[in-house]
Amino acid sequence: METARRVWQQPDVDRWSKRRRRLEPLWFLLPSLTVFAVFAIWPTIEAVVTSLSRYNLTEPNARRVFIGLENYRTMLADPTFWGDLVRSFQFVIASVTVTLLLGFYIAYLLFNANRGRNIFRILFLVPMTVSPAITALSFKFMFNYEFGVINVMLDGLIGKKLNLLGDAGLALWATAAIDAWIWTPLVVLILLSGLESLPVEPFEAAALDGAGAWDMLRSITVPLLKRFFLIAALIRIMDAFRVYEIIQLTTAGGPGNLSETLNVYIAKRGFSFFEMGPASAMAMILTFIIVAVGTVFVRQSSAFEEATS
Amino acid sequence: MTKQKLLIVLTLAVAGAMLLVACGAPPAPASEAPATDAPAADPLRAYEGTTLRLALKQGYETTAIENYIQDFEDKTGINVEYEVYDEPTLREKFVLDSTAQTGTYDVVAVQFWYFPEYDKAGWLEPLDDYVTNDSIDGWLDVGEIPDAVKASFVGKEDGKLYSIPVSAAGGVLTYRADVLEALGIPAPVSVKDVVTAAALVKEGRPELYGWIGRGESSFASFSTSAGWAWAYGARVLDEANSVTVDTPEMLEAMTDFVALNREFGPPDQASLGWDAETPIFCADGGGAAFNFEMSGFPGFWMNPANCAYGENLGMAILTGPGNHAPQWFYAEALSISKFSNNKEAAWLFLQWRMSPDILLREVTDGIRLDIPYNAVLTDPAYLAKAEETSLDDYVAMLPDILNAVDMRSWPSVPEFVKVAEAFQQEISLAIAGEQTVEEALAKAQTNIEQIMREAGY
Repeated sequence: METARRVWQQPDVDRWSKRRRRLEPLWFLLPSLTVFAVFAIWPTIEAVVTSLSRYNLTEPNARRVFIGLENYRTMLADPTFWGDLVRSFQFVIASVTVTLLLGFYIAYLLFNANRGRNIFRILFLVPMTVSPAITALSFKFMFNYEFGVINVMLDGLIGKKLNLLGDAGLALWATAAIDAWIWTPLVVLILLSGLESLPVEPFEAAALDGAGAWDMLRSITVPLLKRFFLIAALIRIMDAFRVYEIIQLTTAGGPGNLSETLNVYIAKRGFSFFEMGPASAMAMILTFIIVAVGTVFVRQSSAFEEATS
Repeated sequence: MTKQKLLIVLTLAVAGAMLLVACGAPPAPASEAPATDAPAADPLRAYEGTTLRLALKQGYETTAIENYIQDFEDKTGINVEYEVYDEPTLREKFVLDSTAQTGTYDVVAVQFWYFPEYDKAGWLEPLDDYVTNDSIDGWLDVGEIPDAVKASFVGKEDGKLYSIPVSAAGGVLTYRADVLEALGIPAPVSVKDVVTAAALVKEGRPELYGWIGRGESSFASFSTSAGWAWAYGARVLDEANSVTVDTPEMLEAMTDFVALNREFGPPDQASLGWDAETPIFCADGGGAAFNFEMSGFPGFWMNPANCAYGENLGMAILTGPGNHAPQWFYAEALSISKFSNNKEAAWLFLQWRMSPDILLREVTDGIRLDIPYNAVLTDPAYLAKAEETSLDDYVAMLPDILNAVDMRSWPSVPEFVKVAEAFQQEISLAIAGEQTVEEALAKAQTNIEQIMREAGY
């Protein structure tokens, strides 16, 4: 009887044992998943709910009142939202382009440096180690028309000063330049590690075929670094969309709102006006845009992996 | 228990602990000192053992607290913990604390332009009963604070005082007296004189800016433009809170104001805030001829230790076509949070902070001279310090500056930040040359009307 029972139970025991083994890793992941759920998923759900509500913190006895998609409708009809969205894209394109080009140039120089490579690597990382808020305030004074060091140098070199933060046509690009200054070292790190991971055989073969440095750079180095470019671009794009302190501390979005990007506007609506509903709705849209752009880059990166494997 | 089971139990325990920590209630606020039936022998020590938490703003108002807090703690036995933030962060902290009603902060620094917002939300403790029934002799005497300053912290509905002003400033023109004298330009008396004089300075001393002021696109610059407008009889909201931006008086006011900034100020005037004024106004070998600001600034500039031209500066309270003085009122106060569990102890702190002894120490230690307390302004030690720092002319003018304050010019509404941002944004664009003054005012009118409509006015 005992044997028969054991035989009868055998398949269940195996199935339960396999299931338990499959679930074991989850138990070890549980603490991290819990933290992720509490600090990432739950706030996101709260933000979605708030985006569908009217909720102003400065109202007496403030509480959330469900209003459906009204915040989204109002946002889509708000010319400030669209203007800031366009400026966000302008900022991202400008900053990311500069950081990728400049970052690659510096990484390439460091890679080919014979002397002092390590020292220069450390020096080039310094901008990234300074708080963005401190950097923004420093640049605000450096860009000042009257006494800023940038304009003092320009005046000495070309006899002309630039109204970098007060000119409507320059303010946004000036803040993009600050952003590029801060985050170029990150791109340098990524691309330098990429350069150092490249196989030497294609270069040796190209050298044997008589290819020059420029040909090797154009035809071998850059294509092989595509994956690293995609990673660097993805990280930079996500960061650039979320820029806040650089703009707020240098131009406050001015003149007018001509250097204001969407994240700055979200912060204004949420933490200056305390209109949590519209701010959350815009934050949802911005998140969606960042995720959409990120998805494109991840797919590109995956496609490249498959093509080269 | 097998190792596996033990591991699972431990993991679940860790996860549960993390969840409890994340969802845990905020720490309970410090409890009031135990009440006793018998009256305290020393009223100063009635709340001994209590811990007060303060939320303060960066600035000289806070320097005194940081420097002298040991005196309060020694006298009262109350332990004080304070946090100092920039103004936007302080407001965020207080709003979030008050929305959640946690009572984390017992005392909070309140800027007058946020007061209507806090008043409407009911986040501050009214002080009238404390003033009447619970005042310490020799410390704060509320009657010594100018009425015009207190008025900006009085509740709209109940007329009660909610905050004790710690600092106050009015609008004043500061000018380079040496430059005007050299060019034969009389000291301005009206806002129109300033426009004329700025043009003459530009012509006679091209290396100087005729004007420096706040032009950046934020509500922090609103006081300069909207305050200037009051001299012309123009204001953003009238008594009925109707929007009055697109009036002929405002058009004249802003036309002059934009011209001052655009034609006679630095090219980046549209992006300049308060922090850029001092380096430009006091610059060696250069600078600007005129500035209109809150009176705290000339108190700094006229001290030769702080500004190259300190001894060559003059001040004037202007008038204008509307027979009003242009305004630049600012006041900061200390309030007790409605949700504090230590209100009586907090009131003791407020009284200490504005006691003549502490105020005079601020003066003699060189922290500040613009004290909104009448008894201090006539104290020999105060006057001696003013003379020592070459600021005797400045302090002589302070009472007149505060008396010129006219709160009719100010949009004292809870929606102030939105209203001020909407107005200043358009003015900043006009200063930058991106639109005309007419276009700026038309847009500001429309936008502010929408703000007021949405707010239920």
